[in-house]
Amino acid sequence: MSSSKLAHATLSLTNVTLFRANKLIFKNLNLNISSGEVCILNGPNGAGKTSLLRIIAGYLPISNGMMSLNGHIFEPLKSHLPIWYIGHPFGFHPNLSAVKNLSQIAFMRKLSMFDEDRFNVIDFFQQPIRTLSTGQIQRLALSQLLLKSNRQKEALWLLDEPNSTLDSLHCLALETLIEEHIEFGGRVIVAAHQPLCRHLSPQTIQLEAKP
Amino acid sequence: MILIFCQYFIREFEISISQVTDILSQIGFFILVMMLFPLTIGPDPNKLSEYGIALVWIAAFVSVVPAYDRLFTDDYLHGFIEKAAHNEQPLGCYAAAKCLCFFLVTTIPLLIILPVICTMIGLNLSIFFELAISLLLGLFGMTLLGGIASGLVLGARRAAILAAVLVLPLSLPIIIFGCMTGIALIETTPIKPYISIMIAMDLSLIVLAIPIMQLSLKNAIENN
Repeated sequence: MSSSKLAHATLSLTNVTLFRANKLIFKNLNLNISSGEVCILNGPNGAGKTSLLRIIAGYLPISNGMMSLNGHIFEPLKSHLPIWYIGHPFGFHPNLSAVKNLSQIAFMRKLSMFDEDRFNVIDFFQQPIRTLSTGQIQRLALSQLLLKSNRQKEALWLLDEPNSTLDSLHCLALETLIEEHIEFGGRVIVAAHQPLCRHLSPQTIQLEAKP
Repeated sequence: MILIFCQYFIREFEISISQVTDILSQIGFFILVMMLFPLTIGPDPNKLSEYGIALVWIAAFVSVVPAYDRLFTDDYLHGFIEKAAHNEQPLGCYAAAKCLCFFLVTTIPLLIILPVICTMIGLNLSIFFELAISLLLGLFGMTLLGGIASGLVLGARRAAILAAVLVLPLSLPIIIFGCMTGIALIETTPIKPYISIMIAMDLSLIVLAIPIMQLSLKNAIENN
Protein backbone atom coordinates (compact mmCIF):
# COMPACT_ATOMS: atom_id res chain seq x y z
CA MET A 1 0.00 0.00 0.00
CA SER A 2 1.43 3.37 -0.94
CA SER A 3 2.06 5.89 1.76
CA SER A 4 -0.56 8.36 0.52
CA LYS A 5 -3.19 5.65 0.82
CA LEU A 6 -1.91 4.77 4.26
CA ALA A 7 -2.45 8.31 5.42
CA HIS A 8 -6.20 7.99 4.94
CA ALA A 9 -6.59 4.33 5.82
CA THR A 10 -8.88 3.28 8.63
CA LEU A 11 -7.63 0.76 11.13
CA SER A 12 -10.42 -1.51 12.30
CA LEU A 13 -10.62 -4.14 14.96
CA THR A 14 -13.64 -6.35 14.46
CA ASN A 15 -14.98 -8.70 17.13
CA VAL A 16 -11.58 -9.05 18.73
CA THR A 17 -11.47 -11.50 21.61
CA LEU A 18 -8.48 -12.12 23.80
CA PHE A 19 -7.78 -14.96 26.17
CA ARG A 20 -4.62 -15.02 28.23
CA ALA A 21 -3.77 -18.18 30.15
CA ASN A 22 -7.37 -19.40 29.63
CA LYS A 23 -8.76 -16.23 31.17
CA LEU A 24 -11.05 -14.05 29.11
CA ILE A 25 -9.66 -10.52 28.95
CA PHE A 26 -12.18 -8.98 26.56
CA LYS A 27 -14.71 -10.25 24.09
CA ASN A 28 -16.05 -9.01 20.73
CA LEU A 29 -14.36 -5.66 20.92
CA ASN A 30 -14.77 -3.27 18.00
CA LEU A 31 -12.64 -0.26 17.28
CA ASN A 32 -12.26 1.95 14.22
CA ILE A 33 -9.68 4.64 14.05
CA SER A 34 -8.93 6.73 11.02
CA SER A 35 -6.74 9.66 10.24
CA GLY A 36 -7.00 12.50 12.74
CA GLU A 37 -8.76 10.57 15.47
CA VAL A 38 -8.05 9.96 19.12
CA CYS A 39 -9.30 6.98 21.03
CA ILE A 40 -9.16 6.74 24.80
CA LEU A 41 -9.21 3.38 26.55
CA ASN A 42 -10.83 3.48 29.95
CA GLY A 43 -11.14 0.83 32.58
CA PRO A 44 -9.84 -0.39 35.89
CA ASN A 45 -6.52 -2.15 36.37
CA GLY A 46 -6.47 -5.53 34.71
CA ALA A 47 -9.26 -4.71 32.28
CA GLY A 48 -6.99 -5.28 29.30
CA LYS A 49 -6.00 -1.75 28.24
CA THR A 50 -2.33 -2.59 27.88
CA SER A 51 -3.17 -5.92 26.25
CA LEU A 52 -5.28 -4.14 23.64
CA LEU A 53 -2.46 -1.69 22.89
CA ARG A 54 0.02 -4.54 22.67
CA ILE A 55 -2.28 -6.36 20.24
CA ILE A 56 -2.37 -3.34 17.96
CA ALA A 57 1.39 -2.97 18.29
CA GLY A 58 1.75 -6.58 17.15
CA TYR A 59 3.23 -7.96 20.36
CA LEU A 60 0.23 -10.08 21.31
CA PRO A 61 -1.72 -12.41 19.03
CA ILE A 62 -5.52 -12.18 19.20
CA SER A 63 -7.52 -15.25 20.12
CA ASN A 64 -10.36 -14.45 17.76
CA GLY A 65 -11.54 -11.67 15.49
CA MET A 66 -9.83 -9.59 12.85
CA MET A 67 -7.65 -6.54 12.47
CA SER A 68 -7.76 -4.75 9.16
CA LEU A 69 -6.37 -1.65 7.54
CA ASN A 70 -8.59 -0.34 4.74
CA GLY A 71 -10.08 -3.78 4.26
CA HIS A 72 -6.76 -5.59 4.09
CA ILE A 73 -5.64 -7.86 6.91
CA PHE A 74 -3.43 -5.84 9.20
CA GLU A 75 -0.23 -7.40 10.51
CA PRO A 76 1.35 -4.73 12.69
CA LEU A 77 4.93 -5.94 12.54
CA LYS A 78 4.88 -6.32 8.76
CA SER A 79 2.75 -3.31 7.88
CA HIS A 80 4.14 -0.10 6.41
CA LEU A 81 2.10 1.87 8.92
CA PRO A 82 4.60 3.27 11.41
CA ILE A 83 3.56 2.24 14.91
CA TRP A 84 4.91 3.74 18.10
CA TYR A 85 4.09 1.84 21.25
CA ILE A 86 5.14 3.91 24.23
CA GLY A 87 4.59 1.91 27.37
CA HIS A 88 6.36 -0.11 29.95
CA PRO A 89 8.96 -1.61 29.32
CA PHE A 90 10.40 1.22 27.28
CA GLY A 91 13.24 -0.67 25.62
CA PHE A 92 16.05 1.35 27.21
CA HIS A 93 19.10 -0.38 28.57
CA PRO A 94 19.82 0.88 32.10
CA ASN A 95 23.58 1.05 31.60
CA LEU A 96 23.54 3.10 28.42
CA SER A 97 23.13 6.85 28.36
CA ALA A 98 19.81 8.44 27.45
CA VAL A 99 21.12 9.80 24.16
CA LYS A 100 22.55 6.43 23.13
CA ASN A 101 19.27 4.67 23.83
CA LEU A 102 17.30 7.26 21.91
CA SER A 103 19.63 7.38 18.93
CA GLN A 104 19.60 3.59 18.77
CA ILE A 105 15.83 3.65 18.35
CA ALA A 106 16.08 6.50 15.86
CA PHE A 107 18.61 4.55 13.85
CA MET A 108 16.51 1.39 13.87
CA ARG A 109 13.53 3.33 12.53
CA LYS A 110 15.71 5.30 10.08
CA LEU A 111 14.81 8.61 11.71
CA SER A 112 16.94 11.53 12.74
CA MET A 113 17.20 13.26 16.10
CA PHE A 114 14.51 15.77 17.06
CA ASP A 115 14.90 19.55 16.83
CA GLU A 116 12.58 20.65 19.57
CA ASP A 117 13.30 19.33 23.01
CA ARG A 118 9.75 19.54 24.28
CA PHE A 119 10.19 17.15 27.16
CA ASN A 120 13.47 18.75 28.31
CA VAL A 121 15.48 15.59 28.00
CA ILE A 122 18.71 17.26 26.89
CA ASP A 123 19.43 18.05 30.57
CA PHE A 124 20.06 14.38 31.33
CA PHE A 125 21.13 13.20 27.88
CA GLN A 126 24.51 11.90 29.02
CA GLN A 127 23.28 10.11 32.13
CA PRO A 128 22.76 6.35 32.13
CA ILE A 129 19.11 5.32 32.34
CA ARG A 130 19.51 3.65 35.73
CA THR A 131 20.24 7.03 37.34
CA LEU A 132 17.06 8.63 35.99
CA SER A 133 13.74 8.97 37.76
CA THR A 134 10.57 7.29 36.48
CA GLY A 135 9.24 10.59 35.18
CA GLN A 136 12.48 11.34 33.35
CA ILE A 137 12.42 7.92 31.68
CA GLN A 138 8.81 8.53 30.69
CA ARG A 139 9.82 11.87 29.15
CA LEU A 140 12.64 10.21 27.26
CA ALA A 141 10.24 7.57 25.98
CA LEU A 142 7.79 10.22 24.82
CA SER A 143 10.64 12.03 23.07
CA GLN A 144 10.65 9.14 20.60
CA LEU A 145 7.49 10.68 19.19
CA LEU A 146 9.44 13.83 18.37
CA LEU A 147 11.98 12.05 16.19
CA LYS A 148 11.89 13.43 12.69
CA SER A 149 10.24 11.21 10.19
CA ASN A 150 9.06 11.56 6.66
CA ARG A 151 6.16 9.23 7.41
CA GLN A 152 5.16 10.74 10.72
CA LYS A 153 1.89 11.85 9.21
CA GLU A 154 0.27 8.45 9.12
CA ALA A 155 1.97 7.20 12.28
CA LEU A 156 -0.15 5.40 14.84
CA TRP A 157 0.70 6.26 18.42
CA LEU A 158 -0.16 3.75 21.12
CA LEU A 159 0.38 5.41 24.46
CA ASP A 160 0.09 3.38 27.63
CA GLU A 161 -0.34 5.61 30.69
CA PRO A 162 1.74 8.37 29.10
CA ASN A 163 0.94 10.99 31.73
CA SER A 164 0.89 8.91 34.90
CA THR A 165 4.35 10.00 36.03
CA LEU A 166 4.65 13.37 34.32
CA ASP A 167 4.63 16.73 36.05
CA SER A 168 2.03 19.30 35.00
CA LEU A 169 4.38 21.14 32.66
CA HIS A 170 5.19 18.04 30.66
CA CYS A 171 1.58 16.83 30.76
CA LEU A 172 0.77 20.03 28.91
CA ALA A 173 3.59 19.38 26.43
CA LEU A 174 2.16 15.90 25.83
CA GLU A 175 -1.36 17.28 25.26
CA THR A 176 0.00 19.78 22.74
CA LEU A 177 1.98 17.08 20.99
CA ILE A 178 -1.06 14.81 20.66
CA GLU A 179 -3.17 17.73 19.48
CA GLU A 180 -0.64 18.59 16.77
CA HIS A 181 -0.39 15.00 15.66
CA ILE A 182 -4.17 14.79 15.33
CA GLU A 183 -4.36 18.05 13.41
CA PHE A 184 -1.66 16.71 11.15
CA GLY A 185 -3.75 13.66 10.42
CA GLY A 186 -2.21 11.12 12.76
CA ARG A 187 -3.94 8.53 14.89
CA VAL A 188 -3.58 8.17 18.64
CA ILE A 189 -4.83 5.49 21.00
CA VAL A 190 -4.28 6.26 24.66
CA ALA A 191 -4.84 4.22 27.78
CA ALA A 192 -4.96 6.60 30.69
CA HIS A 193 -6.36 6.89 34.18
CA GLN A 194 -5.65 10.59 34.37
CA PRO A 195 -7.80 12.71 32.05
CA LEU A 196 -6.12 13.51 28.75
CA CYS A 197 -7.18 15.24 25.53
CA ARG A 198 -10.74 15.90 26.72
CA HIS A 199 -11.16 18.87 24.39
CA LEU A 200 -10.37 16.76 21.31
CA SER A 201 -13.67 14.90 21.82
CA PRO A 202 -12.10 11.48 21.56
CA GLN A 203 -13.99 8.25 21.11
CA THR A 204 -13.91 6.25 24.29
CA ILE A 205 -13.73 2.53 24.80
CA GLN A 206 -14.76 1.26 28.18
CA LEU A 207 -13.14 -2.00 29.22
CA GLU A 208 -14.54 -3.90 32.18
CA ALA A 209 -12.60 -5.90 34.71
CA LYS A 210 -13.47 -9.59 34.64
CA PRO A 211 -13.88 -11.42 37.92
CA MET B 1 21.19 -4.93 6.85
CA ILE B 2 24.93 -4.70 7.45
CA LEU B 3 24.56 -1.20 8.81
CA ILE B 4 21.94 -2.21 11.34
CA PHE B 5 24.00 -5.28 12.23
CA CYS B 6 26.93 -3.00 13.04
CA GLN B 7 24.66 -0.73 15.04
CA TYR B 8 23.40 -3.65 17.13
CA PHE B 9 26.95 -4.90 17.53
CA ILE B 10 28.18 -1.52 18.78
CA ARG B 11 25.30 -1.32 21.22
CA GLU B 12 26.09 -4.78 22.58
CA PHE B 13 29.73 -3.92 22.87
CA GLU B 14 28.97 -0.77 24.86
CA ILE B 15 26.70 -2.73 27.16
CA SER B 16 29.39 -5.38 27.70
CA ILE B 17 31.95 -2.70 28.51
CA SER B 18 29.56 -1.24 31.08
CA GLN B 19 29.23 -4.69 32.66
CA VAL B 20 32.91 -5.55 32.74
CA THR B 21 32.55 -7.27 36.11
CA ASP B 22 30.57 -10.03 34.41
CA ILE B 23 33.52 -10.79 32.15
CA LEU B 24 36.02 -10.57 35.00
CA SER B 25 34.04 -12.91 37.21
CA GLN B 26 33.75 -15.39 34.38
CA ILE B 27 37.52 -15.35 33.88
CA GLY B 28 38.05 -15.63 37.63
CA PHE B 29 35.80 -18.66 37.65
CA PHE B 30 37.79 -20.22 34.80
CA ILE B 31 41.08 -19.72 36.61
CA LEU B 32 39.69 -21.08 39.87
CA VAL B 33 38.33 -24.21 38.21
CA MET B 34 41.71 -24.78 36.55
CA MET B 35 43.47 -24.31 39.88
CA LEU B 36 41.37 -27.09 41.37
CA PHE B 37 42.85 -29.73 39.10
CA PRO B 38 46.49 -29.63 40.29
CA LEU B 39 45.11 -29.72 43.82
CA THR B 40 42.83 -32.69 43.23
CA ILE B 41 44.72 -34.77 40.67
CA GLY B 42 48.06 -34.03 42.25
CA PRO B 43 50.99 -31.94 41.07
CA ASP B 44 52.51 -34.66 38.86
CA PRO B 45 53.24 -32.81 35.57
CA ASN B 46 52.96 -35.94 33.42
CA LYS B 47 49.52 -36.74 34.69
CA LEU B 48 48.40 -33.11 34.43
CA SER B 49 49.58 -32.67 30.88
CA GLU B 50 47.91 -35.94 29.94
CA TYR B 51 44.52 -34.70 31.09
CA GLY B 52 45.35 -31.05 30.50
CA ILE B 53 43.50 -30.45 27.24
CA ALA B 54 40.30 -32.07 28.45
CA LEU B 55 40.51 -30.03 31.64
CA VAL B 56 40.89 -26.77 29.72
CA TRP B 57 37.83 -27.63 27.62
CA ILE B 58 35.71 -28.55 30.59
CA ALA B 59 36.72 -25.46 32.55
CA ALA B 60 36.10 -23.20 29.55
CA PHE B 61 32.64 -24.68 29.02
CA VAL B 62 31.71 -24.59 32.67
CA SER B 63 32.72 -20.94 32.90
CA VAL B 64 30.77 -19.76 29.84
CA VAL B 65 27.58 -21.82 30.16
CA PRO B 66 26.13 -19.91 33.14
CA ALA B 67 26.47 -16.70 31.15
CA TYR B 68 24.20 -17.84 28.33
CA ASP B 69 20.95 -17.22 30.09
CA ARG B 70 21.66 -13.50 30.21
CA LEU B 71 22.22 -13.36 26.47
CA PHE B 72 18.70 -12.16 25.69
CA THR B 73 17.15 -11.88 29.15
CA ASP B 74 18.12 -8.25 29.80
CA ASP B 75 16.88 -6.96 26.48
CA TYR B 76 13.72 -9.01 26.86
CA LEU B 77 12.91 -7.60 30.28
CA HIS B 78 13.76 -4.04 29.24
CA GLY B 79 11.56 -4.32 26.17
CA PHE B 80 14.31 -3.81 23.62
CA ILE B 81 13.41 -6.93 21.62
CA GLU B 82 9.92 -5.52 21.07
CA LYS B 83 11.41 -2.31 19.73
CA ALA B 84 13.70 -4.27 17.46
CA ALA B 85 10.71 -6.22 16.14
CA HIS B 86 9.32 -2.98 14.67
CA ASN B 87 12.48 -2.63 12.68
CA GLU B 88 12.32 -3.51 9.00
CA GLN B 89 15.29 -5.83 9.41
CA PRO B 90 14.53 -9.28 10.83
CA LEU B 91 15.15 -10.09 14.48
CA GLY B 92 17.70 -12.66 13.35
CA CYS B 93 20.01 -9.78 12.51
CA TYR B 94 19.79 -8.58 16.11
CA ALA B 95 20.30 -12.10 17.45
CA ALA B 96 23.35 -12.66 15.25
CA ALA B 97 24.96 -9.38 16.32
CA LYS B 98 24.26 -10.21 19.95
CA CYS B 99 25.80 -13.68 19.69
CA LEU B 100 28.86 -12.44 17.83
CA CYS B 101 29.53 -9.76 20.43
CA PHE B 102 28.89 -12.17 23.26
CA PHE B 103 31.27 -14.69 21.73
CA LEU B 104 34.03 -12.09 21.40
CA VAL B 105 33.73 -10.66 24.89
CA THR B 106 33.61 -14.07 26.56
CA THR B 107 36.25 -15.84 24.47
CA ILE B 108 38.98 -13.27 23.93
CA PRO B 109 39.72 -12.70 27.65
CA LEU B 110 39.79 -16.47 28.05
CA LEU B 111 42.35 -16.84 25.28
CA ILE B 112 44.44 -14.07 26.78
CA ILE B 113 44.95 -15.93 30.04
CA LEU B 114 45.17 -19.33 28.36
CA PRO B 115 49.02 -19.34 28.14
CA VAL B 116 49.21 -18.86 31.90
CA ILE B 117 46.79 -21.71 32.44
CA CYS B 118 48.74 -23.93 30.03
CA THR B 119 51.93 -23.35 32.00
CA MET B 120 50.12 -24.03 35.25
CA ILE B 121 49.01 -27.49 34.21
CA GLY B 122 52.22 -28.33 32.38
CA LEU B 123 51.00 -28.11 28.80
CA ASN B 124 53.65 -27.39 26.21
CA LEU B 125 53.26 -23.81 24.97
CA SER B 126 54.19 -24.89 21.42
CA ILE B 127 50.67 -26.23 20.98
CA PHE B 128 49.07 -23.08 22.33
CA PHE B 129 48.15 -21.64 18.94
CA GLU B 130 46.36 -24.77 17.76
CA LEU B 131 44.63 -25.18 21.10
CA ALA B 132 43.43 -21.57 20.93
CA ILE B 133 42.01 -22.11 17.44
CA SER B 134 40.13 -25.23 18.47
CA LEU B 135 38.78 -23.43 21.55
CA LEU B 136 37.69 -20.48 19.41
CA LEU B 137 35.81 -22.77 17.06
CA GLY B 138 34.30 -24.71 19.92
CA LEU B 139 33.15 -21.68 21.87
CA PHE B 140 31.72 -20.10 18.73
CA GLY B 141 29.44 -23.09 18.26
CA MET B 142 28.66 -23.04 21.97
CA THR B 143 27.59 -19.40 21.80
CA LEU B 144 25.15 -20.18 19.00
CA LEU B 145 23.76 -23.09 21.00
CA GLY B 146 23.58 -20.81 24.01
CA GLY B 147 21.69 -18.27 21.92
CA ILE B 148 19.13 -20.89 20.95
CA ALA B 149 18.76 -22.02 24.55
CA SER B 150 18.55 -18.46 25.85
CA GLY B 151 15.87 -17.60 23.30
CA LEU B 152 13.85 -20.67 24.13
CA VAL B 153 13.85 -20.18 27.88
CA LEU B 154 12.94 -16.47 27.78
CA GLY B 155 10.26 -15.77 30.33
CA ALA B 156 10.59 -19.14 32.03
CA ARG B 157 11.27 -19.45 35.72
CA ARG B 158 14.76 -20.69 36.68
CA ALA B 159 15.85 -19.79 33.18
CA ALA B 160 19.57 -19.92 34.03
CA ILE B 161 19.69 -23.57 34.98
CA LEU B 162 17.26 -24.51 32.22
CA ALA B 163 19.48 -22.88 29.59
CA ALA B 164 22.53 -24.72 30.92
CA VAL B 165 20.68 -28.05 30.87
CA LEU B 166 19.65 -27.39 27.28
CA VAL B 167 23.10 -26.36 26.10
CA LEU B 168 25.29 -29.04 27.62
CA PRO B 169 23.87 -32.13 25.85
CA LEU B 170 23.72 -30.27 22.54
CA SER B 171 27.34 -29.27 22.88
CA LEU B 172 28.60 -32.86 23.18
CA PRO B 173 29.77 -33.10 19.55
CA ILE B 174 31.70 -29.86 19.96
CA ILE B 175 33.39 -30.95 23.16
CA ILE B 176 34.21 -34.41 21.74
CA PHE B 177 35.85 -33.08 18.60
CA GLY B 178 37.51 -30.29 20.55
CA CYS B 179 39.16 -32.77 22.86
CA MET B 180 40.10 -35.01 19.93
CA THR B 181 41.92 -32.03 18.46
CA GLY B 182 43.80 -31.65 21.71
CA ILE B 183 44.70 -35.31 21.91
CA ALA B 184 45.92 -35.23 18.33
CA LEU B 185 48.02 -32.18 19.22
CA ILE B 186 49.75 -33.99 22.05
CA GLU B 187 50.26 -37.15 20.02
CA THR B 188 51.46 -34.96 17.11
CA THR B 189 49.06 -36.62 14.68
CA PRO B 190 47.32 -34.39 12.09
CA ILE B 191 44.61 -32.18 13.58
CA LYS B 192 43.21 -30.93 10.30
CA PRO B 193 40.31 -33.42 10.07
CA TYR B 194 39.04 -32.48 13.53
CA ILE B 195 39.36 -28.77 12.87
CA SER B 196 37.49 -29.22 9.57
CA ILE B 197 34.67 -31.04 11.33
CA MET B 198 34.44 -28.28 13.91
CA ILE B 199 34.32 -25.62 11.21
CA ALA B 200 31.56 -27.60 9.50
CA MET B 201 29.62 -27.83 12.76
CA ASP B 202 29.96 -24.09 13.33
CA LEU B 203 28.82 -23.22 9.83
CA SER B 204 25.78 -25.47 10.01
CA LEU B 205 24.99 -24.03 13.44
CA ILE B 206 25.00 -20.51 11.99
CA VAL B 207 22.43 -21.57 9.41
CA LEU B 208 20.30 -23.35 12.00
CA ALA B 209 20.63 -21.05 14.97
CA ILE B 210 19.70 -17.70 13.46
CA PRO B 211 16.20 -18.68 12.26
CA ILE B 212 15.56 -20.59 15.49
CA MET B 213 16.58 -17.59 17.58
CA GLN B 214 14.41 -15.32 15.43
CA LEU B 215 11.39 -17.56 15.97
CA SER B 216 11.95 -17.96 19.66
CA LEU B 217 12.37 -14.21 20.19
CA LYS B 218 9.15 -13.56 18.32
CA ASN B 219 7.41 -16.14 20.44
CA ALA B 220 8.85 -14.62 23.60
CA ILE B 221 7.43 -11.19 22.74
CA GLU B 222 3.96 -12.67 22.46
CA ASN B 223 4.23 -14.24 25.88
CA ASN B 224 5.47 -11.12 27.62
